[in-house]
Amino acid sequence: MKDIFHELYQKYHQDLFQFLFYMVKNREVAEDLVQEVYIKVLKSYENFEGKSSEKTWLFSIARHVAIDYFRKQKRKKKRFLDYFDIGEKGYLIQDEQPIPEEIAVQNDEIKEIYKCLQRCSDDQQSVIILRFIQSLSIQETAEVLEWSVSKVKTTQHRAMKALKAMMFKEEGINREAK
Amino acid sequence: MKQNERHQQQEKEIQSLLEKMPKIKDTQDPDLLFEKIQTRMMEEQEEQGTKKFAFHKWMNRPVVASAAVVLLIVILSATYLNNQNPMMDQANIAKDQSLMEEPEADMEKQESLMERAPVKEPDNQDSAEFNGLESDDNKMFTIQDTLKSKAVFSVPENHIQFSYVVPDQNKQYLVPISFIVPKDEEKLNDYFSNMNRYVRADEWGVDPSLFSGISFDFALNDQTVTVDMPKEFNDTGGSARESLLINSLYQMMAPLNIKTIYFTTEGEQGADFAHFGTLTELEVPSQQKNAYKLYQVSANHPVWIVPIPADPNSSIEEAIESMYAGEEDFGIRPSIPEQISIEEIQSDSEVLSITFSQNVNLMPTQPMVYMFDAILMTARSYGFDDVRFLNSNVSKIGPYNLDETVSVPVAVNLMPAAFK
Repeated sequence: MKDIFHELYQKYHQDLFQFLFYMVKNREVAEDLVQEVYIKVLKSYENFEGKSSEKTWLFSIARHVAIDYFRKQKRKKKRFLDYFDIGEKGYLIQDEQPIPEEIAVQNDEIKEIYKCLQRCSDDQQSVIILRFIQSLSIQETAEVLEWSVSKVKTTQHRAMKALKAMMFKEEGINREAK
Repeated sequence: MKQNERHQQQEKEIQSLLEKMPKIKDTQDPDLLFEKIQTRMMEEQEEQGTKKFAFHKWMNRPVVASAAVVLLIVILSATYLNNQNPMMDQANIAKDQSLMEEPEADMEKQESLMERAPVKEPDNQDSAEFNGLESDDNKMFTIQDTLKSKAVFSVPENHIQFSYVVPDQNKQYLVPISFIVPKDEEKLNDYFSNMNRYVRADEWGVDPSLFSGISFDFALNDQTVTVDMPKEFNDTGGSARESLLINSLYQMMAPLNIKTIYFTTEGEQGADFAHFGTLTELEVPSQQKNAYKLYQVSANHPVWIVPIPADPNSSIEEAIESMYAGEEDFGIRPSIPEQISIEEIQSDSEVLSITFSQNVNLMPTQPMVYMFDAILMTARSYGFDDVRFLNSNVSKIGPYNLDETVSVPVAVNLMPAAFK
């Protein structure tokens, strides 16, 4: 089992970690979730049927792990809001995470696109991260997300449109301010 | 048309920005990561075991059993009608699949050493599994495969096993951390003289600062070592610090078969110690009695099996009894869980026999493997070569075949050698 772990680690670890990092936007959480991914992978490795590539299978598991994490976070947030009786005003509490150090040291444009990406829907973020940060093909992205190719294309199109709107609108504001 | 071109240009700009997002690297040590994964798998396994037990208890009640049958029929019908997604099956399989399958005994595999030894034979079974070429006999991952001993049982030819024996973070106890490297005296001098550089203090939860400025010069054939002390050693700490150092030296030198430690101070013969006085040489005691327990700083740190010094006149029975207790204040945990009851301990020259109680419930879990590691190391420090475990409810725990006499290890807390 250790050999399998090391082989997978060599081939995919940094990609998987990066994917999780951009999904959850926090290094510590990504470190924790990557363990979860390996646990699932090692437990079910023998059942991997080879219908998809090993790489897309691993990314698919990583995405499920990230989604589980988001669900748990949402439940926690709901309990918190209920506890303080904030209930329906919960939307006033910002979901946006602080910018991780790795991004904070980048130039303004990178920081801006990162922030805009955060405001996209979960599905849009998944597609953008897989396509342009992880450099997966449309077909591979479809396998990871268990979607049709056309759904990937549509979501990508919408995500790009949203990013464009946010980026160039903000740029416009900045220019006006100057 | 112009607007369309502008949109395309903007899209390209965004794509290019996304592609320039920084590459994020994980800096965790892969071996440590694997250890964390194993520990979590064990914990999940134990949880599942507990749930399974509770489930059986409930199912013994007739009303609950009948209701469950009805519910099962409903679920099965729904599943049959549902068109399942094969990718989801694979991703979620870990949730459904029990690892409590009957383990395939793999008695010959002395994993702990050979997996970590620097010159290892290819592990045919694992690589065959990876390539999907496994035979039916070897295809299952079993819980036993995930259990790893921290003990070292033998050292490959032309290699040497050595241990750093460094204080824990509270500077109360010493943590042996073992390596197997090619036999090379010069390199050994480097490994020991630059301990602060090689020991990953924060990651491992230990404090090697005691060895700052101390250098080592081994003469393995003469079974001696010269330890050169910095003049300022006496400036900090008191007799406790000195005792830790001397004790550590004893424990580090014994496995290397060093009989005499010579002391110098910045090249001059002898070293002054506040408590011990001036030392020019020390004979390494052949045997030191210890009871081994567990030390772990936090869940993110490795578990270490550490020797707790025992009274030289104490018996092995007393040592094993003491292993049921920890010292919470110093992060020391018991190595024998409370529920593992031992009925009898008998010693017959060099073989120690440990008889578990009739109702003992040994489970294939990582803490159980550590328990056996700790018992065997304790037995070794009391001069035993072999240990026989009687009355156990299972034949195998990790690498340990409990149906046979188990030889004591040569060292514990083996780490992969990563010296460059």
